Amino acid sequence: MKIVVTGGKGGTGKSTIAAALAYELSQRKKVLLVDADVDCPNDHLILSVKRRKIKDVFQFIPKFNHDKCTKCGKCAEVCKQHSIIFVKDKYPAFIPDTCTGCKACLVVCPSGAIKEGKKKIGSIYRGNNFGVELISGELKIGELASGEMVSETRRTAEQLESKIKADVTIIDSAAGIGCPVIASITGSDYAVAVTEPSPSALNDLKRVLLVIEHFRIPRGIVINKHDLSKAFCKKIEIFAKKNKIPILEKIPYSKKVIESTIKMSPINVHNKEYGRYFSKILKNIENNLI
Amino acid sequence: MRVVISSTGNSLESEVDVRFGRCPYFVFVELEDKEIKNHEIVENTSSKQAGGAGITAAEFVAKKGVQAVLTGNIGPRAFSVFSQFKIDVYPVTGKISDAIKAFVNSELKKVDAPTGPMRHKGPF
Repeated sequence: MKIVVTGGKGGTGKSTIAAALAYELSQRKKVLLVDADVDCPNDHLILSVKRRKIKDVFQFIPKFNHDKCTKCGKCAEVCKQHSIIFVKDKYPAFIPDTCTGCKACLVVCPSGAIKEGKKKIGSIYRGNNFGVELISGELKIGELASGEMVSETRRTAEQLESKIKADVTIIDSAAGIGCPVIASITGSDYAVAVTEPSPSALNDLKRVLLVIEHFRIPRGIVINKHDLSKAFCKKIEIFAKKNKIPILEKIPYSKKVIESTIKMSPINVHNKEYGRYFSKILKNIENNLI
Repeated sequence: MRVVISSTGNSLESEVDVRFGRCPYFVFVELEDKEIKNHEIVENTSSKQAGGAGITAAEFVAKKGVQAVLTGNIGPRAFSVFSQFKIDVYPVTGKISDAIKAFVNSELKKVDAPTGPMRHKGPF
């Protein structure tokens, strides 16, 4: 069972809620938390996990064989990333930085002068704390293939899932609706959309819901920090009702959440009264899926 | 032999521009017997790009058939392109005409690594 925690707007509380849900659930089930925000992973901080690297992730880059190269320049012609530079009568020059591994050059080369090479685009880490198993993906700074890095993180998580016989996998996605978010949502069984009572958050929520609906994944909304604006919270509830999207829970704003984040533990570890919010969310997800 | 110099202005009396990829002009010079046979001054369209200026500028001058590049600093990507094309890069400062004189008199030393970091459209 895979639950993705997303929401569109940054800062609404995705990681906070994903970690808390993982902790809540870990009291009775085996839980794997996947930090799929490969640009800026934070879950290892929220859970105070000492991560250890389990693998480096690589991406295709072309390897040129000058013995076979006829200097036709077709590879440079098809390279949309401008990673291959061709000048008449010279062997092509290659700049790995901007290559995103599409392999168009390898396909188009008429002389078989291009073979598969690789460059590192990120790393995957593992660790555990508070009874939660964590897989954390991290993109190498300057690399472009975020989406691919998320996919690889998820593939690794899947392997670990079977190995540790996890009952539930919670995927903490990045903000936005780009490739890394799409790669986090695809193949999930349920999507928790975390929002907050503001026009930006509602706007972004609508956009991420369109992505979720594309994948026809059942979804529910969590209104975090709901008491910051009663009026706007009502607007979100009206929107949800109109679109038949369940509100899984409304969580009030509290400095305690920030304090526990700074102390590096999920809110419900030292504030047991918070448990009810997360068990309610989990119960509602269960009901939605029946 | 054909040589290119990154320039701050559009004359042989202009100063060499310290930036290769984002200099406003390129001065192409045809050298014969240590003399300037002719020259061509071209606007550098890469200077206005958001990113990848080093690469496109290097491609542009390489396509013009230069055998050497005289500039201030050369970043890692442009350097890599020239290195792969076996085009030598010589750091130099001062007036374009003086830089060429120094080059033909073998007073300049070519570099074997980028001399500056990758820069972007900022004020640097």
